[in-house]
Amino acid sequence: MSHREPDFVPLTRLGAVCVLTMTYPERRNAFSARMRTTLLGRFDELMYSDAECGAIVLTGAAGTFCAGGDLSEMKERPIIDGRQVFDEPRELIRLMAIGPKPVVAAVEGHAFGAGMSLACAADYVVAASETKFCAAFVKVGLMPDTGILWTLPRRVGAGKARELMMLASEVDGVEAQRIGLVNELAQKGETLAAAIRVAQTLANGPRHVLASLRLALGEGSGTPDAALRSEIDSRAVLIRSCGALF
Amino acid sequence: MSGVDDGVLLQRDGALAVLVLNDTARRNAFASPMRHGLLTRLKALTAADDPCRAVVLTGAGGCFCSGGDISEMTQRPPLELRQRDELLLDIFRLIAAGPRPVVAAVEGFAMGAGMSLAAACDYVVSADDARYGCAFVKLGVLPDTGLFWSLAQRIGAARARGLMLSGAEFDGRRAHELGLANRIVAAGGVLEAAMEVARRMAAMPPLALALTKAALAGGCATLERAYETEINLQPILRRSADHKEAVRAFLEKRKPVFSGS
Amino acid sequence: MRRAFLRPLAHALDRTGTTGSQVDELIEIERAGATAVVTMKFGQTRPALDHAGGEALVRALHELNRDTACRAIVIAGDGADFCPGGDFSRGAGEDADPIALRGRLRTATTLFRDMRRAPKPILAAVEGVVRGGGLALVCASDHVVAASDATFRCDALEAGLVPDGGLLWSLPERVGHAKAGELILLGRAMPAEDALWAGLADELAVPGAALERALAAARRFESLPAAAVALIKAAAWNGGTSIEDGCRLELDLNPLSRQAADHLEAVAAFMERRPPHFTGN
Repeated sequence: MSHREPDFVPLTRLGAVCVLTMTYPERRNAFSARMRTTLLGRFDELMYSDAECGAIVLTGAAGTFCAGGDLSEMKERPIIDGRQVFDEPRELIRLMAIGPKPVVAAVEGHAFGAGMSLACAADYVVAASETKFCAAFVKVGLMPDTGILWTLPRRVGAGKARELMMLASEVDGVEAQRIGLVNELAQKGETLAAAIRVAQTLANGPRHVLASLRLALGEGSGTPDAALRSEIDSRAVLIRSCGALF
Repeated sequence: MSGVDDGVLLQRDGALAVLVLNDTARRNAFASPMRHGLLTRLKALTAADDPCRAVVLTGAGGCFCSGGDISEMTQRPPLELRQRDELLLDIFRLIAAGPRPVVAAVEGFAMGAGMSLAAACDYVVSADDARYGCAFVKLGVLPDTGLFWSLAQRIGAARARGLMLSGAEFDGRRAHELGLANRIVAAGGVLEAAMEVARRMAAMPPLALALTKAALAGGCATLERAYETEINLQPILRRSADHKEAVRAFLEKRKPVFSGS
Repeated sequence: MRRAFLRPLAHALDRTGTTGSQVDELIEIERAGATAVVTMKFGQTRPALDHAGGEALVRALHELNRDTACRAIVIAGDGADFCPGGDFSRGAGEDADPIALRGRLRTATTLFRDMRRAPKPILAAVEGVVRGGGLALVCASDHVVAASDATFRCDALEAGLVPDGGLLWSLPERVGHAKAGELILLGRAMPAEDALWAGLADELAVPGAALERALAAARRFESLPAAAVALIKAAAWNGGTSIEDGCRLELDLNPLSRQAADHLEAVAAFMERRPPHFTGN
């Protein structure tokens, strides 16, 4: 595959870890239509068609993660089209949150709006203390989107998520870690290295179990009954096919 | 100012409406007249044609609400009990799922029903020495006015269960640690701080806030549910005047001026 | 780090069981007033939690849930560790036919449901290490007392499995998705101090005193109206995540609680300015 236009999401491999770098520096890696499509293609490929890849790291170029939706692209659309425009980001967030391989986010600079949604969809988030998160949606007359209505409360709790979404408050890396948005802090410039280390640990884990776990945690735990069903289904398969390693 | 003496005062301040639970002789016990009064006020304030953009809920006399009126806890037939609870749920829904942001300003006691009312709000400013407690269990009743939902949302289902089972009391500092209070300040500064938060919310595009609240009320338990909600509601906002103004303002590098639609 | 587990002094526990089958090789049930203490026994022949142990817990719970004299249940481990490892299907026969295997996997889900649906509070008294199915027991409990040197770990992934006993639901419920990921996906150990802050433990105790503190917490429940406690627990289990689910729960269960004799007594006692005397009705 060759690209005549710039690659919005170049891929770098480090063994079983695949690093995706959102690259659109003139718009601070905005979640534009082309960025979305490229991200979706990358994640889909890595999740399902790349046997080498064991874990995925998502980061942003030029010292920033993602500034959010591209306001210059926001125009009024006919009703059906206005609904279908959500299909690609929806599939992307599904892959990130529920796909078979774990995702680690290395977040520096800004993670605003959809950029914050992307970070929230990862399993593990590394940030610098200066990193700024903001669910900026309501400031531009929109509601929180790109799956953040689900991904943020499960990290920080519904009460805190509500506060962050309704006030569009900015939180820095330190506060983000305190509330559960961020797992680990690293020095500015070193979040990627830290994220890769975690991704390597994850990539060394049993792939089929991780796949089951991500599916169970992402889709099979909306209610206690769903979680219990997931538990039985996954374990029935895993015990028979692979045997327990106790 | 409301002229009806049902224990609930209404004070307007620009786009803000301050609701004051006012029965200081009984530490603002949530008796029937006060319940009816609160429901009536909330219905009016959340009506589409009311200029209110944000509500602050507080209690008079340095006390938020000390709980239900125990003298009203007489034996009643089940259907009457259901009806009485429906009234409480109507109040709860207007606060938690209604179109306007509601900020609680809590000083003194927020026990039982008081705790439910505070927890239902979008944002809680608490005095550091306020007193909270799910007193319900001690009286042999269940937490009401939506506390099963709102406490779990704020502090997590496990801790909520623990507090409701034990009826343990705790202060504003602990409420803040748990996430029941978003912010704590010294007593005396609570209303001011709550008004400031309410003003910030009132300055946001009202439709965006209202639909965000509606989305959260639906309970986005799964990614699919959350996305369906997003897909249903966001297009309305994309077509709204305030969103278009925000986009224009961004492109013209100026601050947006929202009109409320 | 192992060290001798100090049993509480004999007088703190009334060792009269209610039936003959209270003490076996898997668990021991003792009484301390109105609290039942269920102790999981681990030893050389049985170094970890397993299917038989899970079944024993299910049976014990079944009995204790129906014993109106029992007002609270404390679960503990008998050695230096609450649960040194294993899960509820270990030893269930990996070579069993698929249907039989699924049947055995129900032990873990039954146990979780029974703990959450129990009409009385369940407490965990945690010393030392909590691993495997032990973590599920902790998360299913209503109140967790942890020794300040206890550590919590989910070792399911390294065993090649998805964790059981409802942990997929109950761990994020306690600590949120981020921390749950660290425990489940990365197998990290969480020390007691962090567990308290994160919501995995509700209370800390001096090492060796977790059981004592758990018993004190259990005693506090004894002074509350039993029906209200049971109904609150029922509502908390049933409550979904939408506002309407929460509203429906409250509406449905409220009238029942107000018919309880203990509720009327509580109101009367308040009005008469005297302490209430609850009978458990």
